[in-house]
Amino acid sequence: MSLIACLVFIFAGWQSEPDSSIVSPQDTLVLSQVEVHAAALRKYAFGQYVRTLDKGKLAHLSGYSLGEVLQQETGLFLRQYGPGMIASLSMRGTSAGHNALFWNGLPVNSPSLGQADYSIFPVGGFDAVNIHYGSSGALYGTDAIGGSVHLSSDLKFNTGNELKIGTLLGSFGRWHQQVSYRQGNEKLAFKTNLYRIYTANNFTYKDYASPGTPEKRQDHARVSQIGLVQNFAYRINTAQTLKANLWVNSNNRQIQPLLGSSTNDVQEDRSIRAIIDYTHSGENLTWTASTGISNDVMVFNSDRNETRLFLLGTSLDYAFSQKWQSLAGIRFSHIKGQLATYNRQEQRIELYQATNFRPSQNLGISMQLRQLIHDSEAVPFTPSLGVEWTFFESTEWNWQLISNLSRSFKIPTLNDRFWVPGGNPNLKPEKSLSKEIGLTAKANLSAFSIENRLTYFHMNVDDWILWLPHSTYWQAENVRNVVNQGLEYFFKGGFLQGENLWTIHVDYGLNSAVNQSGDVGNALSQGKQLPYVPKHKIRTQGNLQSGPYKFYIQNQWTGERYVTTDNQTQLAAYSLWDTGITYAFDWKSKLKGNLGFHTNNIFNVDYQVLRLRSMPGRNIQFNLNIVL
Amino acid sequence: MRKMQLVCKLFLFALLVSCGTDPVEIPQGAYENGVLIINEGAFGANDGEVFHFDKNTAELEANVFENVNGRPFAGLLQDMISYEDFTYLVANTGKVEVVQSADFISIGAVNNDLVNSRSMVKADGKLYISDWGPYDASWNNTESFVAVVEDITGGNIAYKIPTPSRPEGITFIGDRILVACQMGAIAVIEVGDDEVEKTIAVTGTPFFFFEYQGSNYLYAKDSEKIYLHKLNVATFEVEESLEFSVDNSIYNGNFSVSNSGELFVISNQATEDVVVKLSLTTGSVENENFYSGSNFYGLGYDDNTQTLYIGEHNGWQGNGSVMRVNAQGELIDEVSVGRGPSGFYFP
Repeated sequence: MSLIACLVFIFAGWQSEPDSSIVSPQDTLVLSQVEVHAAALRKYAFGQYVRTLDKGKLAHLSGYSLGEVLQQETGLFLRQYGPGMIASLSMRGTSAGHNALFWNGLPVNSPSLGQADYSIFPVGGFDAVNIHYGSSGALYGTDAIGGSVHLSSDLKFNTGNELKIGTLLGSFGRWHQQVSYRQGNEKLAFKTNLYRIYTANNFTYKDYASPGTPEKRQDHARVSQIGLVQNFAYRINTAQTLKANLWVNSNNRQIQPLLGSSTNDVQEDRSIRAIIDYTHSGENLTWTASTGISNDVMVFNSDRNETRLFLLGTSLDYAFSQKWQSLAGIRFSHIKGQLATYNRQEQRIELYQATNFRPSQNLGISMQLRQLIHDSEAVPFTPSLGVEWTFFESTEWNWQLISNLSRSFKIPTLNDRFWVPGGNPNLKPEKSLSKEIGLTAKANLSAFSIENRLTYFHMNVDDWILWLPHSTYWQAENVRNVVNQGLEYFFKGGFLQGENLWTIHVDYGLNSAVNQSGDVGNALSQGKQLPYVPKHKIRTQGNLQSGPYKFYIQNQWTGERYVTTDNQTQLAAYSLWDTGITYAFDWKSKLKGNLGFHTNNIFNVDYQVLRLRSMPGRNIQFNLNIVL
Repeated sequence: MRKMQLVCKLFLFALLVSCGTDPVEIPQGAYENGVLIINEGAFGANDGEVFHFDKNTAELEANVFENVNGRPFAGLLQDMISYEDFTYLVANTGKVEVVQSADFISIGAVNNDLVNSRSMVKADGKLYISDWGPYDASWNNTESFVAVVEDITGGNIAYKIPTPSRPEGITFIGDRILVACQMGAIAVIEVGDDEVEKTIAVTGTPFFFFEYQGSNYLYAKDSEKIYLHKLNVATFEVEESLEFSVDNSIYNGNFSVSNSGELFVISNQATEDVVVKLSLTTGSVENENFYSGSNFYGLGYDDNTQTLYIGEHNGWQGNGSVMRVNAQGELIDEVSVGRGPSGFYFP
């Protein structure tokens, strides 16, 4: 029985509960900040899937970029322009700008580009990753058409002090260093984290552009990154908490040339992000006020682009009863862009409301409403409705049916509207209507525990913006209509055999993203799959934990990707295997830590995520983390 | 025995004579007839390629270079020049690939130290490659050059000849190399000395040299006119200039002139793209709307069939297409090709 209880505890966190919890003597569930964040994300998201990545695994991936983590650890597909180079996420077959990225609730998609480069967010700048699958514009605002990713910091009260030193050495000149110190008493907690990441990226590759395809060594892909993260929390009294987070990050890189080109481009990305949250928690009411700023400078060769987002928001979360809960809020954003060809400022005001209704223990209904006013003009009203119904429950089995219907939108980016030449101030927001239905089954059978989740989604994205050539320049226009549909399947299984815990994870994504409009003047694209949206991606991971040892082996198989909109050219599918082992040590509780050894791309597969963008072959990594 | 020897000698003589006088038929290579379509490729994708179109069967072979050589061309195809056995594929991404004209098998390349190569000419057993050189911080090209390669099958650059900014078209006349530099000048290089001997200012932005009825012309343009400068073969100064009023004409590395002196050019107009027909003979615009449509990018005129080939880029959102238009300006057919069809070569 205790075995089952143990497994229930282990696996409960995977799907809809936080990863870990602490039970206080009063039997009251006290959640850490990161857990509160994840719980808040899920609270009004009945009918959709919010997934928390394994924090233990993240700790071993310190120094990796968010892009590498998502590519390696999930079934999501990222368009990578080389290791350490630009990486953009595609969720449910949408484009890079159709998913929203947040850091501690602060939107960090570039206002000028409308998307985030997932390669410049290193693990170390955040402690937890939550992924919200599917359209969630009513909950989070602009950009969240295909889904959203939420990065958050983990800072606890009453944790004493801890100094952590970590390093990772790897192939191709990879060297990461990280030092963090945290202290937490009953009233005050803070954490300081400093990191430095360096990768020479001098891997060998086949030069397909030269006769005889000689093997060459990459000599212009160096990446250097340095950053500081400061988290702070102050408990004013039992009801009031003040939290502040600061992240300063600088990334310098040589842009890896496309095969056949000999460019020597360099790019520097500097960002400062800060957010302050005040929370007042009563018996039935939680009032939150937040203010934040995100300042990004990108210098490409000598072209400098700077954007700044200032955010001010407040929300009230009130539980009328066990059955009814409601969240209402307002958010003001001021955006300023100083780009290479234009300067622009604008304001956005968002009003949102979310309601949960639980008519019975086994049925939950969420309704969200959002209205964004953008420079005095209202964008389409954005509602969402979700249902979660547990239709069978026993001591061993739990079956749930989930469904969601939602609208989402994306405000045209600053560049889309104001770039000179070609920016089009008359652009309409891109908008989507999304439907999904899913089935979840959880079972705890003796020493076995399994979870299955299958979702079918259908989404219609209209007024999709493209840049099209005109007589002397290119111009942004609302031209494309796309129907995305597909399946997402998640499986997690566990088996406890004595002291050995075996687990297996499977993520599968089927994405059909079909261009309905054929774009303007290009009938060849009509009815075709969008480029660089693999129809299939499957990721499988097997783990064995035995005492202080953890062993894993994983595979990601990515299907063919079309290179052009008319589907005449495609890139081959690829399959990558990785493996690793870690050892956790504890010397008389004075010196703790872990050692890890990892091998990526075991079979030295020659592959390209995007055409003519070389990727590294077999590579190894050794990491050591010491906790004092 | 002597008779036998005589018979053998006679037979050998007959054999030698027959070998020396009878024409030996060397079969034409697959790519030595039909139409070779130059697909420039999209910026940032390096997907330039050559397609082959069979005029008789209307069959199209896609991605000829990759099919034959088992690897992508991996470059933006700016120009294609053929000299009997060898064809040179000039990529503005810094490469000249040398293939056998008959079968397109790659036999070499120039891919060290080229930056933004534009065109090429063979002279004195050497290759002269025009190259814009790198961009500076203000997007100017102040280090343009002509690269000289001493092996016609490729290899390293022997030396570079500095030129005025943005050398584009290049030709060999007499013992001089002429380079059309976009800053408004012809650079004259004496073969052997291999340095710019003099520069000659011209009206308009010069792009390309061509020969018509024994005279050498330079094609130049600005936003309102097209200029055809007739050059003096001794001094290379402009002897005579023909001016044609054509707004927003485009040039992208290809050119189309018929044996009877008709010249086709693309003009980007407010709502459509138009093919304008000019006459070298009369020096005037013969038809200001020979054919119209959208996304026109390349032209080629096949004198044998009197057919105009028009390449469409289809908004660069995917691959392009090619339309065939007859002498009356009527559409014959349309076929889907590679990315950005910019030019045509009729072997």
